[in-house]
Amino acid sequence: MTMTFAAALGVGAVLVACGAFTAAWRREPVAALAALPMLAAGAAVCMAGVSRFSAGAADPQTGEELAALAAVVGLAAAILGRAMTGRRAER
Amino acid sequence: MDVVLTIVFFLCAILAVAGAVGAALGPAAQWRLLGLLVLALGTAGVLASLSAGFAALVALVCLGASAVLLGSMDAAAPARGGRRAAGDPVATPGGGRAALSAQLGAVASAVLLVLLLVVALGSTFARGSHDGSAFDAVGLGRVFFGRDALALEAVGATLTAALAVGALARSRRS
Repeated sequence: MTMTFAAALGVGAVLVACGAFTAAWRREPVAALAALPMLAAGAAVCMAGVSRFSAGAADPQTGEELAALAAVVGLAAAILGRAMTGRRAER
Repeated sequence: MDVVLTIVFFLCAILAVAGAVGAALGPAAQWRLLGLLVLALGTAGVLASLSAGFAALVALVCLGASAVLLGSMDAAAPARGGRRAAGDPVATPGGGRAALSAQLGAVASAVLLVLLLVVALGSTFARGSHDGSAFDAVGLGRVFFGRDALALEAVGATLTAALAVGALARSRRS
């Protein structure tokens, strides 16, 4: 078993599918928000795999950059989701 | 070195997937919080084994903060009268329709997983290699603040707006 691009994409795919499953399966909105870190983690793993195994000569670090940005966007979405869910629970 | 990195990659991948599954199916809020923390740790390990050390550090901080944020709120939700999980045996008003939609969503996510795995395993991609160091902060800094400064500013603005909305909602609650 070797570390390949397909393995990295497979791990990312499983994490993204877990996020989609969480968003669909969890009925209460607070627990469904746990899908956001999973989706961000899946995207970050795929992007890091691109940078490691399939980077072009002109921009070898774009994948790492997008991985870091995906994690930050996931955090921002979690903060927004928590704020909106808290307001909805008040009503 | 490659063998060690491969072992670390697969161990952290198993950790990340186990954390995601635990967060998705955990019966209690504490289990879901633990699952999200394990997911953050495993994802950071996977990124580090892919020679993306800086991205691993950012992912560990951001995903860990998300886990604490969502997990603490999830633990406090039942006290505020939050609804029950889909797997819980107690029926809720309109529960049959909600359960059907949850099952349809689960099937759709399984189809999505199969589709993504077929694309990942069956496609051919361009080959390239990353020759930089494992923690390539200098190169990433040049990319962040040079070529893609606009993208960094957009993400920073998004995070700032989210923090402002979160602070506003928190101040209104208290």
